[in-house]
Parts: sequence; structure tokens; C-alpha cells
Amino acid sequence: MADITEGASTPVAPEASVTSAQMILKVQGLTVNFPSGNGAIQAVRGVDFAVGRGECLGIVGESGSGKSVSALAALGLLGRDAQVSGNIMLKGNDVRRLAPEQLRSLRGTVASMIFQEPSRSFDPIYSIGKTFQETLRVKSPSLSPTECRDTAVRLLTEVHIPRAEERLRGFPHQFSGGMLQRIMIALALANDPELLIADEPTTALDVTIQAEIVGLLEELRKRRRLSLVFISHNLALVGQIADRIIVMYAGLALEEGPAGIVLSQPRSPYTRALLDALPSWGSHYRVEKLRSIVGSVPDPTRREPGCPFAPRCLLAVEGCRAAVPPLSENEEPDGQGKYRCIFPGVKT
Amino acid sequence: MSAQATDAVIRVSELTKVYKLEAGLFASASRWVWALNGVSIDIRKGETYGLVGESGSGKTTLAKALVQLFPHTSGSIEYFQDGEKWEISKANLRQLRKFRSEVKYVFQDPSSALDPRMDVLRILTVGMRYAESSPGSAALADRAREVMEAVGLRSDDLQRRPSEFSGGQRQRISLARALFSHPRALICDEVVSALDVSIQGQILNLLVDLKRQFDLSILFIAHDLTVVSYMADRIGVLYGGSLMEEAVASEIGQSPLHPYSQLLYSAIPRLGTRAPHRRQAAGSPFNPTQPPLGCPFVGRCLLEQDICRTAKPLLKEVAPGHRVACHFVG
Repeated sequence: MADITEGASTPVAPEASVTSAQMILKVQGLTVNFPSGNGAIQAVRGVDFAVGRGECLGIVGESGSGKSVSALAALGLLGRDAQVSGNIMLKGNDVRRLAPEQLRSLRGTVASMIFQEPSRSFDPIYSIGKTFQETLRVKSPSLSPTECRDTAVRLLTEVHIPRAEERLRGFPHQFSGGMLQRIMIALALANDPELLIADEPTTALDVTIQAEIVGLLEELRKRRRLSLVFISHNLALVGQIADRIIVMYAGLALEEGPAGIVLSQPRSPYTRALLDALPSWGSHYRVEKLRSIVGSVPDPTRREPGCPFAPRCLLAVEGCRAAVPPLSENEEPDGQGKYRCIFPGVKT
Repeated sequence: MSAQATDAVIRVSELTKVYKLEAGLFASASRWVWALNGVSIDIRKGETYGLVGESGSGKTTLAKALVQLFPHTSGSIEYFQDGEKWEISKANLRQLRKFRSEVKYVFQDPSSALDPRMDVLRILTVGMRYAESSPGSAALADRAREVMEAVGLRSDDLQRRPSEFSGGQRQRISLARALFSHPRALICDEVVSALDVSIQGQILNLLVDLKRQFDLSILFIAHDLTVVSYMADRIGVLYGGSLMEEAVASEIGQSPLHPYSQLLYSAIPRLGTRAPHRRQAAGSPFNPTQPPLGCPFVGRCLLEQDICRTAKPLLKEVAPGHRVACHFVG
């Protein structure tokens, strides 16, 4: 790619009082293709996003929208078969040009990631203490067992695990899903990263535990000035924590902007349809029918030329099927953010 | 109470299910799991009864015991049929067959609930094909076309296999199979949780339509409380295999009375709100391998007193149709 100098020179749109110099992660024009038997799977088709210090970016989308793949690409975690292009700057480092060992030195110290179903992120034959020791020694190989234990206890206490010292002797199967996700967060923070990417971190958990985990992430963000990328299919959940939201569909960002605006005055018909398709709190089937979305999620191996949502959109006209609409600025008097639609903000 | 008695389609009384925990390499002999500890609910004619609770609260055990996928340990399940009342665990074969054709279970994951080697026609008819009451294959095929249309699929789809359908369509096939034998009640266990957000709405609307069209009673289980509050007429809150609270959906949604219900409902992410600082970890949750004594929620409850550890609070009616099991409510 020829445009590696772009990060510093391009003026950045006003991003909630964060300037480009403070951006931890800045992704521009990201595309990801996976070769497959019946044509390449176009998982991500040109996505831009950026996260500033202490900021939380929410990425919302259904399965196959490209939200997880975008996050994995940002940390250079995709396998060798993935064809990635675009510009990914992680704290001033061009992720796509780094050697594997340079990239490894950024993971954990600059950026960490946690995943859905914490039980699958642990090695079942390692005790929690051993897992911490292994993680801590990646960056500081000379740490003694006592130092490792003290650091682990401090981290576990920070994520509110009671009786941390005793818990270090436990094994993953002895913990509940919520406890394991807390321990996962503590491990992710072990080498003081500035950015934490959380990919559906509460999806397998109960609603009470989900609230605790989101509350914990919010607390860590404030205390450590941690930057967060929070990925979920649940709009209401992302709205709990995100400052900005990107709504992805079929590998494209259809809308992005401040969380409050995206969730309350969406410009994209897809965002509006998603908000309308699920019951809102206090609604009841005897009173109102859900405005469900017709059709199904598009096939990633067959990308049509136009707006990906056009086949399911009630506003779609011929023009929508011809070309993907550009990402336009929201020019409403009180508006911020961007959207891809030729009928912005129209209610169906 | 007598008015309710005539309303009920299914009445569950003091239902208890204890599993033996003996499988597994490290399990010692004679350990038990107290999954359900005396739950009583009525599912009334034409109503949707929503069951909520965290994982391990006994929702699915109750649903499965209800259709006798396994025998329960004690308590009773009564089925009301044409003015008659059958106790299901003592029912004869004819009654049990009738019960099973009229109370149908719809599973969570449609891709594992449908046999991938069968075409849709066979999936829909295989249960009836060998029944004594089978009306013959031509009539079965007619009925298959009817139910396909009822769930919004085309009757020419009958020759296709499950793999050719999307997740939402597969869930429609599951519903078609349940409707096939003219049921009176559906047990819907997490029927939308495996589906994408944009598809969930379609299936929920379809369920409402079917319920109205065929006058169905539904036991609706889902972990998404907003979805249950939308779909259910009444809601029961389960914790540790016990019913903690039961009321009309809107009432429990606006003012839950049991401390557990309050915790559960306060945790729902609502649009337009921000995450509160919730620093407190969960406390000690109910341990189902200990014999239940006292209130199951005691380890996590803020109101906890000595009595909560020794005496199990009874479910009492605190307002018409609103029952709560807590020593300090009502």
C-alpha cells in the first residue's frame, strides 16, 4: 500500500474531542477476503474506524457482518489465508508491515483481546495461577513465582474476584462463566495495554452477569483510561457503554456516529429496522406487532453491486441496487456521524 | 381459584426433579442435583406463560419434564382435556399419545433439531406415518402443505432438505412440525436465541399469529427478558429450581417485588441508558448439589436474615394474581 503516511496528514473529522494524535487504533479502507471454493468470501469491504484514548467504540452487526473479522485484522490475528488490505495503525505502528515478532510485542502491551465463551479461552490443565505466570513471563521472563503471584492477586482484585490468592490455585472448570470472563479481563490487562477489544464478551452469560461485566469494563475504562472496542449483536447492550457506534452489514459500515444519535435518530434504514425489529422494553404483543425485517442475511460469497440492505429495505428503489451509496456526512443541524443511504432518516 | 381451574390446560403442582450425578471420571457415587424443587404453575387456555431465570434455574428441566421427556421425581402434571383431568405420569398409553400430539416441544437450535438426511415432507410426517391413527400418506402430504403455508413457507419446499434453508426458515420448519398434529399447547424453549437479530422479529410475529389462529397456549422460555416481556401474558421467575415470583408480565416488568426479580430486571440493557457501576460480584450462587434448605437466593440477597437459611419462603399471593416467595415481601 502506498498510503502509509496518511494517518498523520489527513484531517480527521471531529471525533468527540479526540484528535488523531491520541488515536490508539486507526483503521482505514480495511478489506478482508477469504479464498473459498465458490468464489472469495468478501468478509470486510472497506471499513474505517478509529479509537482514541479512553474512548469506547461499539461495533454492531449480525452474524457475517464482518465485525469480528475487522477486529481480528486490526491486531493482525487473521490466518495466512486471509487477504487483508487497507491501512491499520496501532499506536503509530503499521500492523500490516510489522514482522511477526514485532507484532507479538504489541499484543498484550498495546492492545489485548477477549472473546465470547471465556471457558474456551483457557487451557483446562493449567491452574489460574499458572496461566497468569505464563502470560506475565511473556513480557518479563525473569519474574519470580512470588512476583507473578503478587501481580496476579493485584489484577484479580482489580476485577473484583474475592479471595484472589486462594483462587489462583483453582482450575478453569471450577469457575462460573462470569468469573472466568473477569479472570480473562485480568489476564488481558496483565501487561497494561492501552486498548482492549472485547468480541461479544457477554454473549454466553446470564443477563445479571452481563451487567456486571459491562459495569466492570466501564469502570476499567475510567480508572485506567483504557480504550475499548466493544463488539456485539445487541444494540441496547452496546448503547450501555459505547461513545461511538459503527453499524455493520455485509462487510460494510452502513452507519456510524455518536452512540446516542445512532440509537435515537438513526439515518440508515438498516439501523432503524434493527431497532424496530426487536421488542422495546414495555411493549407487548397484544398492543403492537413487531416491525420485522423481511428476507435473510446476505450470502458473503455472493456480493451484489448495490446497497447490501436493498433487498430487504422498504425504501429501496432502482438506484439502490446499482451502486453502494457513499458514506455521507450527517448534515442535520444537530447531527453528527456518517451513513450510507440515499434516503437518510426517512421513516418507513 | 375455581375459575382458574377451568382455565388451565396444564397444571404443574409441586414438581420436583432430582438428577443423579454419577457420570464422569471424577464424580463420586450418589451425588445429586436438585434441579427443580417444588414448582407449581398453571398454563391457561390461550395464554403465553413466560419462564425466566438464569442458566441452571430449571427452566428447561421444567419444560422437558412437562412433556415427559424424562420422569419427574415427585409432584404432578395434570392435563385438562374436554372436561377431563389426566395425571400424566399415571396416564395410559392412549392418553399419553393424545397428550403428546397435543402438547408439542419446539427446540432452541433448529439445525440440530431437524434430521439433515430427511426432506421436509418426511420431517413433518415421520411421526404420524407409523401411528395407528395415520390417515394415509396422501392426507399427510395435504396436511404438510397446510402447515408449511401456515408458517410462511412454500409447499414446494417440501422436497428440500434442512441444509437448503436459512436458520430462520429452519425454525419455521420446526414450528410446522409442531403444528402438524393440531396441538393445543407449544413448549417453546429459547426458540429465537440461535437466530440473528433481524430474523428474531419474524419468528416472534409468526408465533403470535399462530397462537391467535389456532388458539394455542404457549410456555415461552427465553433468556432475553425484553423478548419474554413482549411475548408473555404472565411470567414466572425461577431461581435454583424454585418459583420466586409470578405475575402478569407488565406488572412484574414495572415493579418486580422479589429481590431476585429486582436484580434480574435491573440488569436488562435498555436503550437510552448507560451502564451503571456495578462493582459487586454475584455473591455465592445457589448450589444445586446441596439439598435445598431455606431460600435458594440467600447467598446473593441483600435482605438476607437467619430465617432465610432455615425456612424456605412459601409462594404467597401479595396482590390478585401476583405471587412472591420471600419472607420480607407481602
